Amino acid sequence: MPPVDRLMENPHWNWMIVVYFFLGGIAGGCAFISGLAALFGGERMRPVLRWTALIPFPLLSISGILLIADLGRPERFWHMMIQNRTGWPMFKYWSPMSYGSWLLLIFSGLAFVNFVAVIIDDRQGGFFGRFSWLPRLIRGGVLGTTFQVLLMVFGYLFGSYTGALVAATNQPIWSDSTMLGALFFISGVSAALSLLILLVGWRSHDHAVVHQLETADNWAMLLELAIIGLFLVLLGGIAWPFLRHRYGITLLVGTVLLGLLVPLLLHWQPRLLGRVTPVLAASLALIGGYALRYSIVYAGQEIPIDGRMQG
Amino acid sequence: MAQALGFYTDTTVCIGCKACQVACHQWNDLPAELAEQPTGPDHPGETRPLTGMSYDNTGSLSDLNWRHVKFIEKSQASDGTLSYLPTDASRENLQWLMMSDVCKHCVQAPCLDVCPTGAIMRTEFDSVYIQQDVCNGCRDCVAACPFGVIHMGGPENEGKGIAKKCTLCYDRLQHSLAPACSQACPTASIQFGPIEELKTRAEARVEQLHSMGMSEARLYGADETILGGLNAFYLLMDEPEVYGLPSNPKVPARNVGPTNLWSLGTAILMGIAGLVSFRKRRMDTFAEQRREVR
Ligand code: SF4
Repeated sequence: MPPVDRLMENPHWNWMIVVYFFLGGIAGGCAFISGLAALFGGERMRPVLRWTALIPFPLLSISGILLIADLGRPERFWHMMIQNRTGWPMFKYWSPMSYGSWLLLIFSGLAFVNFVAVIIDDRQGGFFGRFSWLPRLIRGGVLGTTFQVLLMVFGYLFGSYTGALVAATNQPIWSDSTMLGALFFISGVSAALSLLILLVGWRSHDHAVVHQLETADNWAMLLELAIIGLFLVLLGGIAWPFLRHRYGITLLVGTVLLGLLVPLLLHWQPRLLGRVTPVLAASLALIGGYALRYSIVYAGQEIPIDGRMQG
Repeated sequence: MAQALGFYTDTTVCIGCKACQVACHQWNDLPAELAEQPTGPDHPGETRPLTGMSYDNTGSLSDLNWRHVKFIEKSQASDGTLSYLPTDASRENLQWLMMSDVCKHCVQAPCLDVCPTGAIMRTEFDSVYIQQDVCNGCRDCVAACPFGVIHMGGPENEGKGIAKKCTLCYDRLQHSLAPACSQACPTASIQFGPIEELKTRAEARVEQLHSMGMSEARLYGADETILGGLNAFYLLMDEPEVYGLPSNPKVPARNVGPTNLWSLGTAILMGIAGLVSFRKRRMDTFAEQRREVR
């Protein structure tokens, strides 16, 4: 290849985007699990539902701040939603960045309602007492079920759109695979389950619930392993230059080994390292989820693959 | 829409004078990029040094260089080995490939496709234009453009800025003037006009070159195979990659559907797994078992 300038430019999506993908993934995963727990889990799942209501909104708030701070002109963030010249809504269903902005907005709204409902529940009476209808409204009956289904659907859409966002480019690795939406989604679910295992295990002593979360997490991790395998197979010839690079090694060691295989082993042998075993498994799974975002986000921007990028 | 206008660049007659670059800077009021210049009181107004890559002194397109003349020094030894390094002392049969690079104003423009603010628009001349008061600097277009055309510039947010690139001299076109670069090009390497007319001219030129024995002459982006056609297309004398052009750039939106289908499949599988794991009866049985163990 001649030494002409690079073919692709690097969009410089840096740590803010990595953290956003990670936190957003957990928020989406939490909402997805919340729906499953509410619809199928019964009374016992109450501590889980409490956390799945408390976690997403703060994470989404941080996400919003990161996304805005990352813009070249942060004060123009609203141009994603409203056309500044006409005042009409701005929406492109074929651009993940465009529909993703709407997803973030709507999902944040739903997460806010869910979050506030728990606060109202906790502080009955006084100022909050006036809103005691809200938790009742979104927890029971047809409306409650609809709300949970909506949360679950938006959790899934939000958790997966980031993969479509990077796929809808011309960057190497990102645009060479259609598996990243599935991968980011399932990794978000697994990270959310790990976080829930930590929090529910810490505050409640219902081992049955923790065990069920671990069972679900095992499924999520097995699915994630399968999707990583498929992702690498579908990358074809460029999988090798990727895996050889430090970002590929991050994926293999950080995500596959430490974030998936070791936690699976620890779930299978819960007494292997004594009392810390479940905490260690969940913490490693969370680290693995972060390593995945880090590896993919930087790999697509920095690995010189078939001459498209010059490191 | 008025008829599609654009550039046909015949690289065989480019002499590397960079008049197009200068004209672009002048008309668009773009300062020279001084980043690599020696600084300090001892070097007032020094001209920009060469990059070491042939006669190139700007390196690539950038937020301030909306045109960039590429200098590709290709040599082929008697055993067939190719070399592109100007510093390679053993070079033989030197061939100088020069090409004035610019935004391709793609018919299916990836940058325009993904732009979430609507800042990137298609003009009545079928060119692709970035509205500076709309762009908020998300950089999705940078990731989407397969030619590395868009760069972020401006003093905002520690140099992240907003998206900059060739406008096909939109302001000049609106007043029936040709873009500054094509007007300045002394060899008619950069030709401007209605795309259909340019295509006919380019095809005739390729035929002429073929009849002269230069079978390697080819058009790049003149037909619809590359992003629906490029409104700035090229006559090249080698593989596109030699000029730093991708042979198969992709429309970003093509990935969205399949990616979402895989995600949906995964969500359904995880939904079933969650259902199995969270079933109330299962949980009660497990709690029961634990009680019995105790
Ligand atoms: S060459 Fe790049 S910047 Fe120009 S229209 Fe095509 S995608 Fe957009």
